[in-house]
Amino acid sequence: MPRFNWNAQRARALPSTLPALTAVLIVGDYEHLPFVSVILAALLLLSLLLTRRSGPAAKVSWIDGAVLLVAGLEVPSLMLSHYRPNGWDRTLGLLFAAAVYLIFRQIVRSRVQLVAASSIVAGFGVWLSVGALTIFGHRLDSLHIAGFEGIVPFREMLTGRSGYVGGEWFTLVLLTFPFALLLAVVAFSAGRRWLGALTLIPAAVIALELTTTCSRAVFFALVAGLMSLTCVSVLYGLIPWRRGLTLLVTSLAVLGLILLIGNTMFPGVGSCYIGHSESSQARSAEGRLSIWHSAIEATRGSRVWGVGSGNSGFLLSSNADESADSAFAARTFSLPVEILVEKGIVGICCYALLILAILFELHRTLRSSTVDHRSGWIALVAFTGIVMGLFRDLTYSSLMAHPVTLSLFFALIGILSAAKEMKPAEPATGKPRRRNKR
Amino acid sequence: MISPRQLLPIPIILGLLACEYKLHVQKRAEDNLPSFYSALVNGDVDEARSRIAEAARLSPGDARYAAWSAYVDGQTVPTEASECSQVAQPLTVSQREAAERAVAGYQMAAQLNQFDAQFHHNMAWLYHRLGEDQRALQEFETAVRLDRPNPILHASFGLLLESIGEVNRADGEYARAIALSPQLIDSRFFEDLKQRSAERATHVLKTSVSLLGESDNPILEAKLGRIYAELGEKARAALLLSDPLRKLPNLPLAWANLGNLQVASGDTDVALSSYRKATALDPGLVMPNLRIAEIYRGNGSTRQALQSFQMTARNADAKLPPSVSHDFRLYHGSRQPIDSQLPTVLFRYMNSCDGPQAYEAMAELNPKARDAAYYRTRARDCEFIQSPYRICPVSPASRPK
Repeated sequence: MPRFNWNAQRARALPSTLPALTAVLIVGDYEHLPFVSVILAALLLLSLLLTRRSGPAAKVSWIDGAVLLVAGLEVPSLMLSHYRPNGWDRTLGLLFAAAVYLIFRQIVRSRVQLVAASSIVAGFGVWLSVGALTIFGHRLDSLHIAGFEGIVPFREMLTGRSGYVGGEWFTLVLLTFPFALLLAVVAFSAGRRWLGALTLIPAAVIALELTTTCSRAVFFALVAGLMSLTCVSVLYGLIPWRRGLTLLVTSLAVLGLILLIGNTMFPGVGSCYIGHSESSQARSAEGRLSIWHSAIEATRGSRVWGVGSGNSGFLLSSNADESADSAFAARTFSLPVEILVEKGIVGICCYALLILAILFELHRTLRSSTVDHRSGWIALVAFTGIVMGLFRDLTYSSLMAHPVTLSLFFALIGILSAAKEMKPAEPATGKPRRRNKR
Repeated sequence: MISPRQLLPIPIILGLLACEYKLHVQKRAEDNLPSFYSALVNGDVDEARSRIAEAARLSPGDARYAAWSAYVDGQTVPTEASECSQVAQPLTVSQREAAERAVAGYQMAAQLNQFDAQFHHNMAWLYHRLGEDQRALQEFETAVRLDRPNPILHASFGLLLESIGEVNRADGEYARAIALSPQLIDSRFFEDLKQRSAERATHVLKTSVSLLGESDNPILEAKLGRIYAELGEKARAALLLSDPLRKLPNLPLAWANLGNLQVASGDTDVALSSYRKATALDPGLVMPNLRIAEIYRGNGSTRQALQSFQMTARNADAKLPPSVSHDFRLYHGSRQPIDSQLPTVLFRYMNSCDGPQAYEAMAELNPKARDAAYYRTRARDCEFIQSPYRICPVSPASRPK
């Protein structure tokens, strides 16, 4: 019998736990923990030491370069900021997220690591969702006692938790959803159907909470994500088109069923998404358009570099018109507009390069003959999460507002980037590995 | 040999450590503010100065610290007499120097952050006190341009205009303020305006109506409803308040104002339901809680009345000036919502006396309560709230040289 090698086990345990430790730091909402970024820096240093020093795996990818570019943009942005003290916490948030990306990118190589990290995030998502659904129920009861009916006009006061603005909360929960899907993908691709079905429960709970947000942007971000998942999988031959169509119809039907359950629990939720817009929804849309217009107009003097991180609220407040209808707006309600306002055209170019790098990396991963079929699915689900986050933030600016959401987003980018370097799964019965279908 | 990918984390690690250090220093600076505020409240100017100087030393780029430092200097500059019969007292040499230092401090703050209207607002009143009314007007115009939707700024601008004799322009600014926030009608500010001239107060309200215009926008309709209620057109007011609530039932102030109309027409039960809706939508509101308490008291339900009065008083005490919540949302380094005294004096003047009324009622309903003496003291809060600035028109001849 071979002797148990403690040193080897310890050496293997360390990289295995790094992604999970990073996930714990993310969901711990680091603002409330002192010097968390120092701990993360230490983890990143550790990942640096554990990174392979030679071979194709040591190459810098396009996403690596784009993330470094986006992080490096913070230096001139801070120097040229209209009010620098506002930018430090945003810069720290972005660097934190970049560090998270690098840790996932450098370290995640096995399903075990991925499952460990994803379980923590998915569990966090379930915990948030259960709490939010309970709060939703209590607040709805108090409105009914007061004599109100319906849900749509009161949606802002029904959702969210203290410490988070409602819209940021929705984005946070939305970004835990792809991690729950990753668990299912790993289980199904390992041939464990019952386990896979079980791992869909966290995803279902999170989706239930997302449908009760009454946010059309969030709901249609889910739809957009599921559609991109199936379309890209068919496009790259991961599944035949008939199966892709079945998957799409099934997933949308399940989403519809979840919405039905939500509407049964809280009658009126379904009307948030179906039928004519209510007055409050129409006003919400009009208000956003007005804010985007005035935000873009106000950046006329700072189009190249923007006004600096964290200063969009000042710009909006100082350019608000005197309309008696206008409420105080501290955010731009659109991520592209926020980047334009705070980082300028230079920032738009840098972030656009990041998106192009993500698309290119996905293409390379799904086209590669050396990448395992299962790794392809992992990359695709991570991409789905990125699509959901970006779609949602087309009409809200929450990704960069809170370090947790930004870190989760960059963790997904890291997983996508790491997918092609993941170890192929050992066959359960000794059968040869399947190659990617083309 | 180190691979290129191994080098990637190095700039990120350095950046993380640098940012963490910077934020740590910002936090240390911010930690001086509670002591600064306590020193201000206790009148310990030297301690306040040293605390804010320490904060500014740690974080020299923070405009708020420069402004607070200016504020301390401005504290030694007395405001003008509020009685029209009194002549404005001239500043002594040391007071003049303090005012000029304060102006310089606010100018530095404005250079650090060009977006903050509050600095220009405070500078305007200091210039006025120094006798430089043209510069005061310029600063106020800058302040209003930087924060147009702020009703308190418009009302404050009106006070300055009125004190230098530009009554028509002042009324225009008052009308803008009320169009932005009709709740100003319940404030001491509007009460004083009515006492100075009921005609002018009515004219201001009618100007507000024309500023809001005819619209099917539910928010504007609700605002018009409140103004028409004050103008005595109750039927029109009721229509303008109930119609938007069909489209947007999530307007707490509209429900509260509708409740007031229902009480006036004798429908107490319906009014109670409207007030409950207002408090369900916004539990922090003061006025509807006070009205609920008054209805309970009228019905003889003393215990429920007391609970509602206590809720009113709690909400009134917890209410932060809009400038504070504004700063808290826009200044990311701000961790302590500081209740600055200058905006608070102005804020209280622009606020209603609902809180003191609640304390008065609590003292009356339970005269043997342990805190009865405290309640009676708080009940007199409104007596001491005067305009922070002289608001009687002063002819140029009577101004001290």
